[in-house]
Amino acid sequence: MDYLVSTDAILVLRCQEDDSQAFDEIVRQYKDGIYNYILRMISNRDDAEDLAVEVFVRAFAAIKSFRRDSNLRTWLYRIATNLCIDKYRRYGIERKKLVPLEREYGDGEIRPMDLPDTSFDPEKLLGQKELSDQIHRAIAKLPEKLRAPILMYDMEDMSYGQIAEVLGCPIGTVKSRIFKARTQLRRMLLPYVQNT
Amino acid sequence: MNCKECYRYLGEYVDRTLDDCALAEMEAHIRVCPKCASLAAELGGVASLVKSLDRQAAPSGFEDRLNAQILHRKEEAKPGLLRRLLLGVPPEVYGYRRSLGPALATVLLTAAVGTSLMFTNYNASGDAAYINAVQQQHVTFASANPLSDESALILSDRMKELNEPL
Repeated sequence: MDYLVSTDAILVLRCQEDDSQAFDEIVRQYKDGIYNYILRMISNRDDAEDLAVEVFVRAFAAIKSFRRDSNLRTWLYRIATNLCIDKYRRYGIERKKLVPLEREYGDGEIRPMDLPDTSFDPEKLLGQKELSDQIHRAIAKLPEKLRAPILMYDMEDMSYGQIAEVLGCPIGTVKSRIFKARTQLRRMLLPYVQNT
Repeated sequence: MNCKECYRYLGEYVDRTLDDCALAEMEAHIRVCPKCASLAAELGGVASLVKSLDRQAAPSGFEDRLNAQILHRKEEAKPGLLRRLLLGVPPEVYGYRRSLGPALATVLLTAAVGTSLMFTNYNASGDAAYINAVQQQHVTFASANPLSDESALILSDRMKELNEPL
């Protein structure tokens, strides 16, 4: 991680000296992580690509004033998080309008999905892809305040301190939110959790 | 450690970020408490499930789209044609344009001061020549200040006397 940090510092320095190849390298390093994070945050592929492009456009515009003692990675994720929050608030996307853990039954009524019989092994009944879909849907039901830290911690391997820097909150708050996110996910994914 | 305290640190226990002392206390409690043990295992399972999600790569052509957007934004940031025509300078020299006002004011002020100084010097040199001419004629001044209005009148009369043919 220290090597990554110092590499990032060198790339930023080169960008500030108008080395376009340095910025290309930053994009290559971070585009997948940023895209994946945004996709898991907003659950829409087209919008996720647009926002991921916007992250790097904004980073390019502001790189000259980037303080070299700051962390490039947390800065990029902060831009991404803020764009996702803006997306939600501008278009009034609520949790229930995202991919819900609900389905329309034969009688036309939409109800929360019936949990499968836990006497069956979910991994035998469902393919890995469907399990991933279930996990993704459960994450999408979390409030954005809980979704961001758990995605950054469990999917992006960021530390509590880095997440605190991204979200602009104390480390204790980050720990608390991750814990709350997991307890909520536990309720939604209990059959799958018990079989891990 | 009781269940309430254990619950408080379960998140960090699952993440293995507790210090050795706290970790030992948690493990000691979990060994004897099935409820906390079950909860710890389930929370660990949740973390594993989230970690197991496939990381989606950015779509192909992402960098091309990004470069196109950056170029587009640069174009949008340039001043419009009308503004360029009115100002008459390319945007690259906007730095100079910003300092034009103070520079122009300095030039005008210098010109004004210089012009006034030119007239002043002309009058002073005219006075000096006048005085010099008068002195050569051995005319004394009534006033210590030969340039005062009163002295100038006296000098003027004297010069007339000197110039009149005898």
